[in-house]
Amino acid sequence: MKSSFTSARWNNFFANDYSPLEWTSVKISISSIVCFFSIYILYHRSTQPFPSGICNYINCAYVATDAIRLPVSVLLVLLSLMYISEVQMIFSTLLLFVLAVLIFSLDESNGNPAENGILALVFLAQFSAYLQNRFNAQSNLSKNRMQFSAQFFAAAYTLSAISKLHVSGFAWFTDDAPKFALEVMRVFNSVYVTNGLNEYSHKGLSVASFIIAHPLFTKLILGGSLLLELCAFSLMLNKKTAFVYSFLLLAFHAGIFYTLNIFFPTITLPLIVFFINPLYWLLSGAGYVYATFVTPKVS
Amino acid sequence: MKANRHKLILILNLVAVLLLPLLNWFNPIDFYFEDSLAAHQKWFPSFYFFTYLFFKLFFPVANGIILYGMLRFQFKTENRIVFLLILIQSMLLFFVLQTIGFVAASLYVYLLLLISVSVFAWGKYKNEIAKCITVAKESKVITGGFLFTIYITLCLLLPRAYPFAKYTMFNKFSEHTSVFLLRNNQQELVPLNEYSTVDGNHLFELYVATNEQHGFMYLSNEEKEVEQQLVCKELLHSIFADLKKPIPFDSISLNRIDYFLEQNKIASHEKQLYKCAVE
Repeated sequence: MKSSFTSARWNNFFANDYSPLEWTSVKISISSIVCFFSIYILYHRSTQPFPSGICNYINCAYVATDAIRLPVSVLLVLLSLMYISEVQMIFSTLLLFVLAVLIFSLDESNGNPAENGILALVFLAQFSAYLQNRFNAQSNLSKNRMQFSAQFFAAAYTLSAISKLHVSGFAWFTDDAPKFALEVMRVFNSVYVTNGLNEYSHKGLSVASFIIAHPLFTKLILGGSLLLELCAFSLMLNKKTAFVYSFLLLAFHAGIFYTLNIFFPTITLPLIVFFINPLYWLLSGAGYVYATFVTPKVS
Repeated sequence: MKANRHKLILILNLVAVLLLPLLNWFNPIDFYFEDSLAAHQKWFPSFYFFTYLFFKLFFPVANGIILYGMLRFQFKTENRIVFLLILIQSMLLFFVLQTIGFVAASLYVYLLLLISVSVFAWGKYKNEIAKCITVAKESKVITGGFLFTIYITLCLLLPRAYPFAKYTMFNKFSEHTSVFLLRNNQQELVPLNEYSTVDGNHLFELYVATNEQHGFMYLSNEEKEVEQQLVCKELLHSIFADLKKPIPFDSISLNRIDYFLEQNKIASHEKQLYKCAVE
């Protein structure tokens, strides 16, 4: 443990390489997130009223029945431990991917389309990297298992931009911009009808009025966010660009949260884990403190 | 610059892919290529599956084969991996463009030809591809965007099958939006979270999903009262499928507030959609 901590250097983060500590931090963070969301779904979704994806062919709700959900949760945790411990990675990543797809499809089949982001796909990306390494030992596993995952993030944002341009074209941020105020009203009033608190209705009206009163500002903000999504392929270019770009995307999500009161944890949290990796910074900081102040210096 | 050539090529390709869909509104004549399986079923009741497959596969396969043939001629036989990569990439790219819009796909061909002939010249373009792949392999930083391309393609082809999705988040701002709410017999708001696990946002998504499941028109002038009552009945059933506590009212109604812009101001209108007695 000591060598792992002390070998972590702050400036290594931008070296276009991934240290074992970075990889371990990502594994711990991402498996915790997947386990949390999966177990939440297993205990909150018992039927599939709007079957979608794989649930059209098999009854996904079976994994959320009283008798099955506990063993499935335990299996998820065991697989995550195998994954963190780097045991049988081809097997563990593939099985984690299959289980995650099954569980998230169940959530999608409850009227939550596209809300589970790309959580399952990071395991598929890592499975691909390990499989490639199995057949070609020359492949750079430490980079591929991270870079392959980054491609799915870039694709998700790009798809969102393509969808806007395809359906609304440039009008999305020009002529249609004032109509954004109506979406704001809908989202804030949805919170109001949920909890009955008037303040949400007032806040919605206040944000919507601001949007209508400042059309140029709204167009700039919407145009900027579309451009940000369009250029999401920057996440694939190199580590430094991805690090900076992920902050821009986080600012974009913060803006969505402020104006629409919507938070996308299944996209935002993995984004933070893969491109900013706070656990790595935390462990590196702890390692630095340990090496500087705790370990006795040899003169 | 040499080391970054592969990035430049990747960016050029991406920019081409991303910009061309913008030309989609040039009155496409491509409904046979673009439309869904259901549309083909309507046009060709007996052979719809084959016609659908034919129109979906024709151009991607043709594009792949043409590029494959040209590159094979240029490279002779020593670069099979390159041939395969080009074949798959060009087919996938065409799939993406065709799904976005057939006009975009055809414009891509013109752009490809334009780049090949006038900008790089064919020989140089051929070398660029080879260098791009070699540099990408050597640098190992970038992974060529292979999974990126595959995922975008599959998401456009299978938009409602997790882990694939179109990520349509707020892709269109409507002329009016709606919020669903419950009112008791005193016409007071009944907060959803007091009695149900369904929240207001989820209720809206359930409303959309239920209407789409039935194939009803909704949130437009073409919606029918009888259909909407059926949907609302099902919605109420979903809301109270897992009651947190007994409902202390004699009756409950599902209302909808429509928001719209009127003279640059937000206006609203509330309408009762369905009312029932609490058993």
